[in-house]
Amino acid sequence: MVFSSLVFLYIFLPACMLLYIAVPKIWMKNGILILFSLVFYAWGEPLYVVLLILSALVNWSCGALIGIGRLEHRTGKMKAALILAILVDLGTLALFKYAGFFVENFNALTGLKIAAPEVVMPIGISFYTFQALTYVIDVYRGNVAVQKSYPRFLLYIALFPQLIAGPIVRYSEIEPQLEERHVSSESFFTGLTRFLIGLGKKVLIANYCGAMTSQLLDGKTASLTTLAAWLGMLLYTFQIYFDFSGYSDMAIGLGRMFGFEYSENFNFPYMSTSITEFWRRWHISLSSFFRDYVYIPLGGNRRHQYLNLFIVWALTGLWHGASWNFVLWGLYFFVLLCFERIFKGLLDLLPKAVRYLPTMLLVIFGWTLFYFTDLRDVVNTFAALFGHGAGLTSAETKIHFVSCIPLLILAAVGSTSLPKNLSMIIAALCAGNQKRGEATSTAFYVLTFLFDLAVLFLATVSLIGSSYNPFLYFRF
Amino acid sequence: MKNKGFILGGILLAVMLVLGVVSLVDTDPTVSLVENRKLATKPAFSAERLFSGQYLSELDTYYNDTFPLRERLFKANQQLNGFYHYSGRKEENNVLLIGANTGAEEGGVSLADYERAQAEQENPTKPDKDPAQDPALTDPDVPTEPEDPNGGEDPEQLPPDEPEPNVLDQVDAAAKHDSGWTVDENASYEQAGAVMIIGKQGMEVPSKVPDVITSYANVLNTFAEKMPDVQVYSLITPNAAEFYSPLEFHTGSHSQKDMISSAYSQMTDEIIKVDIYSKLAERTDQYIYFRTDHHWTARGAYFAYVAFCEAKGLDPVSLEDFESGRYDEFVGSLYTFTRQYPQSEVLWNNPDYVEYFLPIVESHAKYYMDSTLTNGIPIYVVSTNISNASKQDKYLCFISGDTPICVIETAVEDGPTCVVLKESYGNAFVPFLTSHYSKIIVIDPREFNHGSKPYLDLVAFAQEQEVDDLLVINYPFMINNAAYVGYLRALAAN
Repeated sequence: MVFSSLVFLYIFLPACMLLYIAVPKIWMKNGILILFSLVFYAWGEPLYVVLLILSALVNWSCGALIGIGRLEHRTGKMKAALILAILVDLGTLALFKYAGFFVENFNALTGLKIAAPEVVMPIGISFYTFQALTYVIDVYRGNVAVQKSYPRFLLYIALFPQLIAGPIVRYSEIEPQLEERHVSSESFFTGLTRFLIGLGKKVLIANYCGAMTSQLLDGKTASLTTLAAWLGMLLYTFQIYFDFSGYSDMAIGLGRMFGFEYSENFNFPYMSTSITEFWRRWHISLSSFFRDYVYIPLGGNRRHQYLNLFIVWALTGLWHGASWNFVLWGLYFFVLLCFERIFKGLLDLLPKAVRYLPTMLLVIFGWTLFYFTDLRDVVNTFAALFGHGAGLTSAETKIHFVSCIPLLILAAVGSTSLPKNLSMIIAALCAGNQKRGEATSTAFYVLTFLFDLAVLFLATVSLIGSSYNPFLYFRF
Repeated sequence: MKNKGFILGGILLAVMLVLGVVSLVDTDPTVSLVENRKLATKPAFSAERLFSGQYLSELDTYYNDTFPLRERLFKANQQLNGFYHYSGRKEENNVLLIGANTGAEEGGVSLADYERAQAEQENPTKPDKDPAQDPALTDPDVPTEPEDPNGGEDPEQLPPDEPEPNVLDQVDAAAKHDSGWTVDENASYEQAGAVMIIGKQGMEVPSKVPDVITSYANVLNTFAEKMPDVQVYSLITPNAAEFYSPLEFHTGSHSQKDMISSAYSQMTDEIIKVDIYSKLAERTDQYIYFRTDHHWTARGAYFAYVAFCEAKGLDPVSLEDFESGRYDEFVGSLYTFTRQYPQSEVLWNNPDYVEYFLPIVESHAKYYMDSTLTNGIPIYVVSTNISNASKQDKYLCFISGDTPICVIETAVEDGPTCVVLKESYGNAFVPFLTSHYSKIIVIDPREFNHGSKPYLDLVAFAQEQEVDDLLVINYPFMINNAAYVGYLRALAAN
């Protein structure tokens, strides 16, 4: 199931919340969440839900074995259990996500014709296996205690807000919340609002950017005009941000409504003035995962730093998908980050305003690598971006450009901190008649409520429209 | 108030819950006339379908289609799309361009399908419409239209609780795969073509796919080679975009003139190539294409008929000699297809009309589900009395829309027999042939030799029917469409 669907909004979420409130004990509440999470997952993956449960079971058992090993002071046993968990997790990933890719490349190298296995990748597998890894590694390191209850561990892995598309929540982050949670009135409401903001970002911005992007770019790179290439890549740049950060907002918001506090995953990445800064603001849970669980164990800044960086960025690229363009995309950032590291002193001399535009351009070029899995498309698009396409513009491009001007403005403003600052100003203005001891004034609550209602309405309208399927008469 | 967060958040969730409950209880619509389509029916449950993910995905669709206030929300979405597909408010600025695969290569709809869909909408459990307004229901002089070929006496008896497997369901399944503005990831935009509205004129803009055009020509060459006794005629017709779109949309890779001459130049000398293009190009000031529908008018088809007569050496019947009539208020496919954008309002407010010309020679038509030509169902060559209930169905008056095989027998004595291979563009054209042929067999290539469709060996069939002429009539979208050309090729695969 996805958050941006009518079934989720009008049946799943209210039903889950109602039952969640209705049961008194925390173990029951956890039970409700596990049940709903499994249904949520099974809705899209009726078969692979078993894989999810088994994967959680293996990791939980390995965690327990590490714990027993520690009690018995047998580091060998601990190591064995850790290695087993890592092998199982990465093995599952390799099998379900990368098998086709490996076989394809092996065939290309050797000239053999081994049939590529036809496995469909289970949704969210990249996220939940990484989550499981944070647990076993942290147990091994002694950073967290062993989770004795399998249901609680399953709740951590399968919790529906973050199950399918992150953020990658570390076990250490929510360990205490698995046993005891408190939801305040304010966090419940801000959670709901945060969820709806995310819904709006996804449904009202990302989806439209995406539809337009594919109209401009898909299958057309050989005849792309320069303006169309820029328009397409700009829209895709917005799509990927609003899609992904919208999803994180929804996850964080939903988590908060149930008493889970997740760390932020995005922090206005398109306001960055360097690539280094961009990666501190973009998909924070992933880059920090690679930092803490790959880069630092490899030696970090202390030994062969550039090799470590290379490995991390090649893996980051590969994590995004089983295709060479993603690896290329990761290594592209490796090169840029090395460059920034080497010339740091020089670059720091430049004012931020001057650094902004080149940073954004480099990010957009990065998304060009990211968008096309076929490298010919990448080459064609770069040619068009730099004026070697099918002319500067065309009647078609002009129509498309005009038609998405309002969307571009909305997306551009929406990707800055402007809306957030605006809401803070409004909150401050509303605070005039605030009663003592209240964190937020009633007026601001009501305004936020109206905003939420409007977003919900518009998102519903848009979702109804996207199920429009005008085939009957046309299909002559 | 300390709990205002809980209260306001609770209200919001309660609103969602109430709508959710209503959405589960109130699940009646079957056909949306606003959207001009059949809405999803409750999917059948089985363990196999559950584990393949099919059941739940269909349940999602079903849920969306039965959501409370769907039609009103849909209307609101049209306004919302005005923001995302901006073109200004004035009619002269009205511009919309969407990449779209119409899916037309996957098959068409017949009048019977359409009327069944409407009948379902008029289900007495939810009388959205006053039945008195519907002449088909009240006027005793309106003859009953042909029976549904799949209903009731279907030879393959189905369990009673299964939904009726009608053509619409098949169309629906195919449509899910490849219709709509959401571009199919596997289909390139170039092949999909585009739908555009400029002012009051809707158009479908094809893009040239040279390889497919070559295959199209080769398929006709194969027909000529395998049926040496049959004279093959190729009739490729341009559509409205060639004459009424801005320059860039009918030049270069969009030039239909170029597509047609490219196809003709690759056909052998045995094939007679009919120059419809020039005939239509000379008459662009006449009403030869609809503005709200992707077809040509019967008048446009008439000029194609004139071109055909010239190529064959016949005297065409003059247009004035036909008894004619018209259906007013026709708003067709291009409106339906763009209905979710506010730009389509102009089409709705400026409807077309459907002009028809009745055959001069007495003609009787029947249609069949396969080439055994059994269990024929009588239809009109040109229907003068289809229901006025809907604005959208009127092009179906020509040979009753798309049926697999339709045979017309005329009072022309000892005249020749022809087979016409066509999609819906041929529908308006076929009635004019009744003055010259004793027997006209109209075949829709999309309905044979793939999936669960019946088998047809055209070469054997033509021999059996003692066919003299084979007419292949198509509009540019089809000659550039690999799937359609594949279906055409499959007719003479042996």
